[in-house]
Amino acid sequence: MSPNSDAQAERLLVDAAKAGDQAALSELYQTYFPRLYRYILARTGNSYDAEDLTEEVFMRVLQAIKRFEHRKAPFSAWLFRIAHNAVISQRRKETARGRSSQLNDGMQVDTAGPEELAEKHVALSEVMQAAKTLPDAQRQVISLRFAAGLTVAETARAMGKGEGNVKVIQHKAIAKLREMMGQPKKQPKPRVYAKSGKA
Amino acid sequence: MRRVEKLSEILEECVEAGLTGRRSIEASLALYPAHAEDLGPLLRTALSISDNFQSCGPSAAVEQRIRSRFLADAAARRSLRHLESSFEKRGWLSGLRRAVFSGFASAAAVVSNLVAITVGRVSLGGSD
Repeated sequence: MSPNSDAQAERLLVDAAKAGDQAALSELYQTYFPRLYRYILARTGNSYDAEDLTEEVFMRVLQAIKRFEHRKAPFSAWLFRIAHNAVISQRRKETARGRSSQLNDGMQVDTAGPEELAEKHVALSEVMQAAKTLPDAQRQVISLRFAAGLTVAETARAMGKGEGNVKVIQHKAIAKLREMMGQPKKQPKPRVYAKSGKA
Repeated sequence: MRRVEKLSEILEECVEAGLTGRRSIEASLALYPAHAEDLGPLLRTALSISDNFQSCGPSAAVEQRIRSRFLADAAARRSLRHLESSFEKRGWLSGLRRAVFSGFASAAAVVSNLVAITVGRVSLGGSD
Protein backbone atom coordinates (compact mmCIF):
# COMPACT_ATOMS: atom_id res chain seq x y z
CA MET A 1 0.00 0.00 0.00
CA SER A 2 1.38 3.45 -0.91
CA PRO A 3 1.74 6.19 1.73
CA ASN A 4 -1.08 8.10 -0.01
CA SER A 5 -3.52 5.23 0.13
CA ASP A 6 -2.45 4.57 3.75
CA ALA A 7 -3.23 8.18 4.57
CA GLN A 8 -6.56 7.95 2.75
CA ALA A 9 -7.47 4.75 4.60
CA GLU A 10 -6.62 6.38 7.91
CA ARG A 11 -8.72 9.42 6.99
CA LEU A 12 -11.75 7.20 6.42
CA LEU A 13 -11.05 5.33 9.63
CA VAL A 14 -10.80 8.54 11.63
CA ASP A 15 -14.02 9.88 10.07
CA ALA A 16 -15.83 6.69 11.03
CA ALA A 17 -14.40 6.94 14.56
CA LYS A 18 -15.60 10.56 14.76
CA ALA A 19 -19.10 9.31 13.93
CA GLY A 20 -18.82 6.91 16.86
CA ASP A 21 -18.20 3.70 14.90
CA GLN A 22 -16.97 1.12 17.44
CA ALA A 23 -15.03 -0.96 14.91
CA ALA A 24 -13.16 2.11 13.67
CA LEU A 25 -12.35 3.19 17.22
CA SER A 26 -11.14 -0.29 17.99
CA GLU A 27 -8.89 -0.28 14.93
CA LEU A 28 -7.46 3.12 15.82
CA TYR A 29 -6.78 1.83 19.32
CA GLN A 30 -5.04 -1.24 17.94
CA THR A 31 -2.88 0.86 15.61
CA TYR A 32 -1.86 3.48 18.11
CA PHE A 33 -1.88 1.79 21.50
CA PRO A 34 1.65 0.27 21.36
CA ARG A 35 3.13 3.39 19.77
CA LEU A 36 1.50 5.69 22.26
CA TYR A 37 2.54 3.52 25.19
CA ARG A 38 6.18 3.43 24.04
CA TYR A 39 6.19 7.16 23.43
CA ILE A 40 4.90 7.88 26.93
CA LEU A 41 7.28 5.32 28.43
CA ALA A 42 10.18 7.03 26.69
CA ARG A 43 9.03 10.41 28.01
CA THR A 44 8.25 9.37 31.60
CA GLY A 45 10.71 6.49 32.09
CA ASN A 46 8.13 4.72 34.24
CA SER A 47 5.89 1.89 33.07
CA TYR A 48 3.12 2.52 35.62
CA ASP A 49 2.91 6.16 34.60
CA ALA A 50 3.02 5.04 30.97
CA GLU A 51 0.00 2.75 31.50
CA ASP A 52 -2.02 5.40 33.35
CA LEU A 53 -1.19 8.14 30.90
CA THR A 54 -1.86 5.97 27.85
CA GLU A 55 -5.33 5.26 29.26
CA GLU A 56 -5.85 8.95 30.02
CA VAL A 57 -4.80 9.96 26.51
CA PHE A 58 -7.27 7.54 24.92
CA MET A 59 -10.05 8.97 27.09
CA ARG A 60 -9.06 12.48 26.03
CA VAL A 61 -9.16 11.31 22.41
CA LEU A 62 -12.78 10.21 22.87
CA GLN A 63 -13.69 13.60 24.30
CA ALA A 64 -11.95 15.54 21.55
CA ILE A 65 -12.17 13.44 18.39
CA LYS A 66 -15.34 15.23 17.20
CA ARG A 67 -13.33 18.43 17.01
CA PHE A 68 -10.45 16.85 15.09
CA GLU A 69 -9.95 18.32 11.60
CA HIS A 70 -7.79 16.65 8.94
CA ARG A 71 -6.81 19.96 7.38
CA LYS A 72 -5.12 21.16 10.55
CA ALA A 73 -2.82 18.16 11.16
CA PRO A 74 -2.58 14.44 10.48
CA PHE A 75 -4.25 12.26 13.10
CA SER A 76 -0.91 10.97 14.43
CA ALA A 77 0.36 14.52 15.00
CA TRP A 78 -2.87 15.44 16.79
CA LEU A 79 -2.76 12.31 18.95
CA PHE A 80 0.87 12.74 19.98
CA ARG A 81 0.27 16.38 20.85
CA ILE A 82 -2.41 15.23 23.27
CA ALA A 83 0.09 12.73 24.64
CA HIS A 84 2.78 15.40 24.94
CA ASN A 85 0.41 17.65 26.89
CA ALA A 86 -0.54 14.76 29.17
CA VAL A 87 3.14 14.03 29.85
CA ILE A 88 3.87 17.69 30.60
CA SER A 89 0.96 17.95 33.00
CA GLN A 90 2.03 14.69 34.71
CA ARG A 91 5.58 16.03 35.02
CA ARG A 92 4.29 19.19 36.69
CA LYS A 93 2.34 17.10 39.19
CA GLU A 94 5.42 14.96 39.88
CA THR A 95 7.61 18.00 40.38
CA ALA A 96 5.10 19.33 42.87
CA ARG A 97 5.13 15.97 44.68
CA GLY A 98 8.92 15.65 44.46
CA ARG A 99 8.63 12.14 42.99
CA SER A 100 11.19 10.62 40.64
CA SER A 101 10.35 8.03 38.05
CA GLN A 102 12.16 4.85 37.25
CA LEU A 103 11.77 1.89 34.98
CA ASN A 104 10.03 -0.89 36.84
CA ASP A 105 8.87 -4.47 36.60
CA GLY A 106 5.40 -3.75 35.27
CA MET A 107 6.84 -3.57 31.79
CA GLN A 108 6.93 -6.53 29.41
CA VAL A 109 9.93 -7.05 27.19
CA ASP A 110 9.75 -9.37 24.17
CA THR A 111 12.58 -11.80 24.73
CA ALA A 112 13.55 -15.41 24.30
CA GLY A 113 14.62 -16.12 27.88
CA PRO A 114 15.40 -14.71 31.32
CA GLU A 115 18.98 -13.77 30.45
CA GLU A 116 17.91 -11.84 27.41
CA LEU A 117 15.10 -10.28 29.45
CA ALA A 118 17.56 -8.99 32.03
CA GLU A 119 19.87 -7.73 29.28
CA LYS A 120 17.05 -5.95 27.46
CA HIS A 121 15.79 -4.45 30.70
CA VAL A 122 19.23 -3.06 31.47
CA ALA A 123 19.64 -1.77 27.91
CA LEU A 124 16.26 -0.04 27.96
CA SER A 125 16.92 1.43 31.42
CA GLU A 126 20.23 2.72 30.14
CA VAL A 127 18.61 4.36 27.10
CA MET A 128 15.92 5.96 29.23
CA GLN A 129 18.32 7.18 31.88
CA ALA A 130 20.45 8.76 29.17
CA ALA A 131 17.40 10.20 27.41
CA LYS A 132 16.30 11.90 30.64
CA THR A 133 19.32 14.17 30.52
CA LEU A 134 18.54 15.40 27.00
CA PRO A 135 16.96 18.80 26.41
CA ASP A 136 13.19 18.43 26.02
CA ALA A 137 13.08 18.87 22.24
CA GLN A 138 15.77 16.20 21.73
CA ARG A 139 14.00 13.81 24.08
CA GLN A 140 10.75 14.42 22.27
CA VAL A 141 12.30 13.69 18.88
CA ILE A 142 13.86 10.45 20.17
CA SER A 143 10.53 9.40 21.71
CA LEU A 144 8.51 10.18 18.59
CA ARG A 145 10.97 8.73 16.08
CA PHE A 146 12.27 5.64 17.86
CA ALA A 147 9.66 4.78 20.49
CA ALA A 148 6.46 5.79 18.66
CA GLY A 149 7.90 5.02 15.22
CA LEU A 150 6.76 8.27 13.57
CA THR A 151 8.46 9.47 10.39
CA VAL A 152 10.39 12.73 10.37
CA ALA A 153 7.46 14.42 8.62
CA GLU A 154 5.00 13.19 11.27
CA THR A 155 7.40 14.11 14.07
CA ALA A 156 7.74 17.60 12.63
CA ARG A 157 3.94 18.03 12.50
CA ALA A 158 3.52 16.69 16.03
CA MET A 159 6.13 19.12 17.35
CA GLY A 160 5.11 22.06 15.19
CA LYS A 161 8.63 22.30 13.73
CA GLY A 162 10.19 22.09 10.29
CA GLU A 163 11.53 18.77 9.02
CA GLY A 164 15.06 20.16 8.62
CA ASN A 165 15.01 21.30 12.21
CA VAL A 166 13.82 17.88 13.40
CA LYS A 167 16.67 16.18 11.50
CA VAL A 168 19.24 18.42 13.18
CA ILE A 169 17.68 17.86 16.63
CA GLN A 170 17.63 14.10 15.97
CA HIS A 171 21.32 14.16 14.96
CA LYS A 172 22.31 16.04 18.12
CA ALA A 173 20.22 13.74 20.33
CA ILE A 174 21.71 10.55 18.86
CA ALA A 175 25.25 11.96 19.19
CA LYS A 176 24.60 12.86 22.82
CA LEU A 177 23.03 9.48 23.63
CA ARG A 178 25.97 7.73 22.01
CA GLU A 179 28.35 9.78 24.14
CA MET A 180 26.45 8.91 27.31
CA MET A 181 25.81 5.25 26.60
CA GLY A 182 29.06 4.48 24.82
CA GLN A 183 28.94 2.18 21.83
CA PRO A 184 25.99 -0.21 21.88
CA LYS A 185 27.22 -3.47 23.41
CA LYS A 186 25.38 -5.51 20.82
CA GLN A 187 24.77 -4.85 17.19
CA PRO A 188 21.17 -3.83 16.53
CA LYS A 189 18.90 -6.78 15.79
CA PRO A 190 19.32 -7.87 12.16
CA ARG A 191 16.52 -6.46 10.03
CA VAL A 192 15.07 -7.77 6.83
CA TYR A 193 16.58 -5.74 4.04
CA ALA A 194 14.74 -5.50 0.79
CA LYS A 195 16.78 -5.84 -2.38
CA SER A 196 15.76 -2.42 -3.56
CA GLY A 197 17.36 -0.76 -6.55
CA LYS A 198 17.96 2.38 -4.54
CA ALA A 199 21.05 1.80 -2.44
CA MET B 1 24.38 23.46 3.20
CA ARG B 2 26.58 23.35 6.31
CA ARG B 3 28.42 20.10 7.06
CA VAL B 4 26.36 19.41 10.22
CA GLU B 5 23.08 19.93 8.37
CA LYS B 6 24.28 17.76 5.53
CA LEU B 7 25.25 15.00 7.95
CA SER B 8 21.84 15.35 9.67
CA GLU B 9 20.16 14.85 6.29
CA ILE B 10 22.30 11.83 5.45
CA LEU B 11 21.86 10.36 8.93
CA GLU B 12 18.07 10.65 8.67
CA GLU B 13 18.07 9.05 5.22
CA CYS B 14 20.13 6.12 6.52
CA VAL B 15 18.12 5.82 9.77
CA GLU B 16 14.87 5.66 7.79
CA ALA B 17 16.40 3.06 5.43
CA GLY B 18 17.49 1.03 8.45
CA LEU B 19 14.20 1.32 10.34
CA THR B 20 12.14 0.28 7.34
CA GLY B 21 14.52 -2.56 6.51
CA ARG B 22 15.44 -1.13 3.12
CA ARG B 23 19.18 -1.08 3.72
CA SER B 24 21.76 -2.46 6.16
CA ILE B 25 24.16 -0.23 8.11
CA GLU B 26 27.03 -1.51 5.98
CA ALA B 27 25.20 -0.67 2.76
CA SER B 28 24.50 2.84 4.05
CA LEU B 29 28.15 3.38 4.95
CA ALA B 30 29.20 2.14 1.53
CA LEU B 31 26.77 4.60 -0.01
CA TYR B 32 28.28 7.57 1.87
CA PRO B 33 31.99 6.70 2.18
CA ALA B 34 33.00 10.31 2.87
CA HIS B 35 30.79 10.33 5.99
CA ALA B 36 31.20 6.70 7.00
CA GLU B 37 33.41 7.43 9.99
CA ASP B 38 30.89 9.80 11.60
CA LEU B 39 27.84 7.99 10.31
CA GLY B 40 28.63 4.44 11.49
CA PRO B 41 28.50 4.98 15.30
CA LEU B 42 25.47 7.28 15.03
CA LEU B 43 23.54 4.79 12.90
CA ARG B 44 24.35 1.89 15.25
CA THR B 45 23.22 3.95 18.24
CA ALA B 46 20.00 5.04 16.52
CA LEU B 47 19.00 1.55 15.44
CA SER B 48 19.91 0.10 18.81
CA ILE B 49 17.70 2.70 20.58
CA SER B 50 14.85 1.79 18.24
CA ASP B 51 15.33 -1.95 18.90
CA ASN B 52 15.25 -1.37 22.64
CA PHE B 53 12.00 0.55 22.48
CA GLN B 54 10.31 -1.71 19.96
CA SER B 55 10.90 -4.76 22.15
CA CYS B 56 8.94 -3.40 25.10
CA GLY B 57 5.26 -2.96 25.81
CA PRO B 58 2.68 -3.30 28.56
CA SER B 59 1.34 -6.70 29.60
CA ALA B 60 -1.56 -8.14 27.59
CA ALA B 61 -3.79 -7.74 30.66
CA VAL B 62 -3.10 -4.00 30.84
CA GLU B 63 -3.64 -3.59 27.10
CA GLN B 64 -6.96 -5.44 27.39
CA ARG B 65 -8.09 -3.46 30.45
CA ILE B 66 -7.45 -0.12 28.74
CA ARG B 67 -9.10 -1.32 25.50
CA SER B 68 -12.24 -2.42 27.40
CA ARG B 69 -12.51 0.91 29.18
CA PHE B 70 -11.90 2.84 25.97
CA LEU B 71 -14.56 0.96 24.02
CA ALA B 72 -17.07 1.00 26.91
CA ASP B 73 -16.62 4.75 27.24
CA ALA B 74 -17.04 5.15 23.48
CA ALA B 75 -20.25 3.08 23.56
CA ALA B 76 -21.62 5.15 26.45
CA ARG B 77 -20.85 8.36 24.58
CA ARG B 78 -22.56 7.01 21.49
CA SER B 79 -25.73 6.10 23.43
CA LEU B 80 -25.76 9.53 25.03
CA ARG B 81 -25.40 11.15 21.62
CA HIS B 82 -28.35 9.10 20.27
CA LEU B 83 -30.45 10.09 23.25
CA GLU B 84 -29.58 13.74 22.84
CA SER B 85 -30.34 13.72 19.14
CA SER B 86 -33.68 11.97 19.69
CA PHE B 87 -34.57 14.63 22.27
CA GLU B 88 -33.54 17.30 19.82
CA LYS B 89 -35.76 15.74 17.17
CA ARG B 90 -38.64 15.41 19.60
CA GLY B 91 -38.24 19.05 20.59
CA TRP B 92 -38.31 20.08 16.95
CA LEU B 93 -41.40 17.92 16.26
CA SER B 94 -43.34 19.22 19.22
CA GLY B 95 -42.43 22.74 18.11
CA LEU B 96 -43.76 21.97 14.66
CA ARG B 97 -46.89 20.41 16.17
CA ARG B 98 -47.41 23.51 18.31
CA ALA B 99 -46.95 25.77 15.27
CA VAL B 100 -49.43 23.76 13.19
CA PHE B 101 -51.92 23.68 16.06
CA SER B 102 -51.69 27.41 16.71
CA GLY B 103 -52.01 28.03 12.95
CA PHE B 104 -55.21 26.01 12.88
CA ALA B 105 -56.45 27.72 16.03
CA SER B 106 -55.83 31.18 14.52
CA ALA B 107 -57.52 30.16 11.27
CA ALA B 108 -60.48 28.76 13.20
CA ALA B 109 -60.71 31.99 15.22
CA VAL B 110 -60.67 34.09 12.02
CA VAL B 111 -63.31 31.86 10.43
CA SER B 112 -65.54 31.96 13.50
CA ASN B 113 -65.19 35.76 13.68
CA LEU B 114 -66.11 36.04 10.00
CA VAL B 115 -69.08 33.74 10.55
CA ALA B 116 -70.18 35.77 13.55
CA ILE B 117 -69.89 39.02 11.60
CA THR B 118 -71.77 37.57 8.65
CA VAL B 119 -74.50 36.15 10.86
CA GLY B 120 -74.75 39.47 12.69
CA ARG B 121 -75.07 41.41 9.41
CA VAL B 122 -77.66 38.97 8.10
CA SER B 123 -79.70 39.20 11.27
CA LEU B 124 -79.41 43.01 11.32
CA GLY B 125 -80.46 43.12 7.65
CA GLY B 126 -83.40 40.81 8.40
CA SER B 127 -84.70 43.09 11.16
CA ASP B 128 -84.78 46.14 8.81
